[in-house]
Amino acid sequence: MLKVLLRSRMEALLSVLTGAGRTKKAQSKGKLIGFAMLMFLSLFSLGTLFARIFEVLAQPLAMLDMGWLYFGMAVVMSFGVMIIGNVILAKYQLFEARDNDLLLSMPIKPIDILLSRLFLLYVLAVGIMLPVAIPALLFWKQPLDAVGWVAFALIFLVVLPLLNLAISALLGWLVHLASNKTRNKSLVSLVVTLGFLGAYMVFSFRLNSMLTTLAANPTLLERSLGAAAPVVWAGRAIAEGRWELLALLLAIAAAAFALCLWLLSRTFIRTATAKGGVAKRVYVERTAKVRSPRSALLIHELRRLWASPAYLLNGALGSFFTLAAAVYLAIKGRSLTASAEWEMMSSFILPLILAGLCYMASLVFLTAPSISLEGKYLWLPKSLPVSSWDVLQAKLRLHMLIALPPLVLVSVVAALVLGYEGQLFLLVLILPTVFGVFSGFLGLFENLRHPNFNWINETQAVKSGASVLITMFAGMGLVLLPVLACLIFSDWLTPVLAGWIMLGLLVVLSVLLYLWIRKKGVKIFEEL
Amino acid sequence: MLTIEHLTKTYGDTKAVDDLSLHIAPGEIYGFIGHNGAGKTTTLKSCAGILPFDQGQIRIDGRDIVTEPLACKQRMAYIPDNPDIYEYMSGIRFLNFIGDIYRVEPTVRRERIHTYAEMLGIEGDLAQPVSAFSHGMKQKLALIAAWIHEPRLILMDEPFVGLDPKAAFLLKELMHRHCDKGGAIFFSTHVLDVAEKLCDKVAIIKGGHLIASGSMQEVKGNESLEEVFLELEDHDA
Repeated sequence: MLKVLLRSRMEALLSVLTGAGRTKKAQSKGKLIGFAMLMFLSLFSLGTLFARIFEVLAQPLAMLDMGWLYFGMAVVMSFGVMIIGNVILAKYQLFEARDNDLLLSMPIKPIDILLSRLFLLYVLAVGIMLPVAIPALLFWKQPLDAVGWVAFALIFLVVLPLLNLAISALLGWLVHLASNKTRNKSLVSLVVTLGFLGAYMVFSFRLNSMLTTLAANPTLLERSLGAAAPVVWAGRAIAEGRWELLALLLAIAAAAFALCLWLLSRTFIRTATAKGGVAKRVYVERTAKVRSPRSALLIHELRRLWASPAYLLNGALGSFFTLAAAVYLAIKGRSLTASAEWEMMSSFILPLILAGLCYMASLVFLTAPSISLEGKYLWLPKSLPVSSWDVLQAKLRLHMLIALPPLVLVSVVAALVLGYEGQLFLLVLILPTVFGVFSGFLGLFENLRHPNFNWINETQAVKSGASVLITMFAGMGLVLLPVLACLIFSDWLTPVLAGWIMLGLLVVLSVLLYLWIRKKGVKIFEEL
Repeated sequence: MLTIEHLTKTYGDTKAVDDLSLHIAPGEIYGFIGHNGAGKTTTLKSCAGILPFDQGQIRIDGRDIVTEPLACKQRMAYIPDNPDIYEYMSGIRFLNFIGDIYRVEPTVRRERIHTYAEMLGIEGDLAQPVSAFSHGMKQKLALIAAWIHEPRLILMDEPFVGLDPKAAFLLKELMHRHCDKGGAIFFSTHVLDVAEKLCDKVAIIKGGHLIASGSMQEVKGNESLEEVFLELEDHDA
């Protein structure tokens, strides 16, 4: 029975990875390969981020004979990435999967259901960890002995995923219990995810200064890491080929996983079928606030966003980052611009600031899954007396409402901190804002062309649709365009000129996309 | 009230509805019966302006659903067989959303919500999220949403599925009252006993073709509707 369940999980995963589950028709080979390439590209982008970190770390740590620290850090980063990726997923996969009731009604042992779901989480954990582990191995130029190689493979493919499964399942269970007891489930997921992301980002930002301090004082280093002994053991097992440390880690991981499995199997049926313990809200009759149909559609879009942690955290995460960046710049901006490194980079500041602000704009893609999210509710907007254009406009207005105010705020703060005036002030203010508008149009354009109504949970619609991936990568590509142009044509293309050209290009593209949505997009929506 | 002329709708090479014509007058409860996949839902969705069709014309109060979709939709309400209602809203928020879309005056809206919700026994649940509603409760919520703007025409796809006996009885009452006030109802059903007792007129569809239509007496004569339906199905097979 377990084999059948494992096969069905892998089929579901493959259909998500290749986009085969998006349409009722069979996916053509070309589209299948194209979609798989997009998924690979997103993992590759993550890999390049970590590659840069390991490239910087490898040589100095090798010179200091601190291979254990290098691999210890790879272990910490991999584990962090896996935990961030898997906690919320564990909650949905283990306790809130739609087919739990169906499977529990069949002659299947609950432990088999649990194991099949844990297996899927294991595969995903390994998949998301590889972009960290592979660059770590590639940039370490010192030879590893046979035990070191085995230790690397076993730590990254067995120890870390098993520990991650144990912790993710436990945290996912706690998040599920907490959200079951509260009315605002979205808020619980939001707080947990932002908490993890925040902790991880603080750790990443402080990595350099921590390294400098610790490397300068090895005694302090040993003492500091004493509490994180398993990390040191993992690092030493790989770099120094210590098999006894590897055996110890394997034993710890196996014990943690066994304990997690025992706990989950005892509570699985009760947790998976629990209806929640929130007291029933009493209805009090009152006269409602009246809204126009257009406002009602916008408010409805806002409610959908707020009620869906997956939509909020994926589509609007960029706005949270943008707000955080505005606060950070307002507090630290002056000291940042006064530093020596800043002085050295002065000629690159404008293109970097513009690229950074536009990148933040590209991280908000609320419109990209917005048509797919209509899913089973599509009959409602289509049967109500509202025009298709009004429905599409509500989606665009939601994007503008969430994306633009933080962008304007961070742009103003950046321009003030940098002391820009006149056309520079205008450019820093307008370009990211127009980029935000363009991202909204692009997302809707792509989702109208590639809607996906066959999702099982919203996360699937929000994360894995072709429209989301295309919007994300097209946005990133456009961010890099002026920077590359400035580097290639540095003899005549100034950053200011490149900025204005980019602005013109974005305005033209936005107008074209608007016209397409207004005419062809409306027709496509009506025929869905 | 509702005029369907030569409606044809194809999915790929399959004709789901083929040259179907019907007329539903004010005050009529018109039943639409047929086996699974006969074309009932496709016809209802085309009338509701949800599905574009290939040929024919659908008019509501003389207005064409293709050229004046908003004016038509303003005059009618549609309830699908499985009313998937925004689960992230509470019952009352959903009803107010519908009220806003149809521009129903707040005091009128409040009064109607109170009347219908109390009648169907879900008034105490309106503050709950729709995700906590059972299928029957969602069905009742969809009924209130349909009646909230007092449409002229109500289209319903299998409205009795999932309703408890009391709610089914109340729905029949509501349907009669609606038609007594000059409205019209066009609904599909598999429950032939209900159709026989409730409908003024009935249409039978098979493989996208209309095989019988008219007043209940004209269609069934002295037999039961069930016998006539089965005979027609067998005869055409």
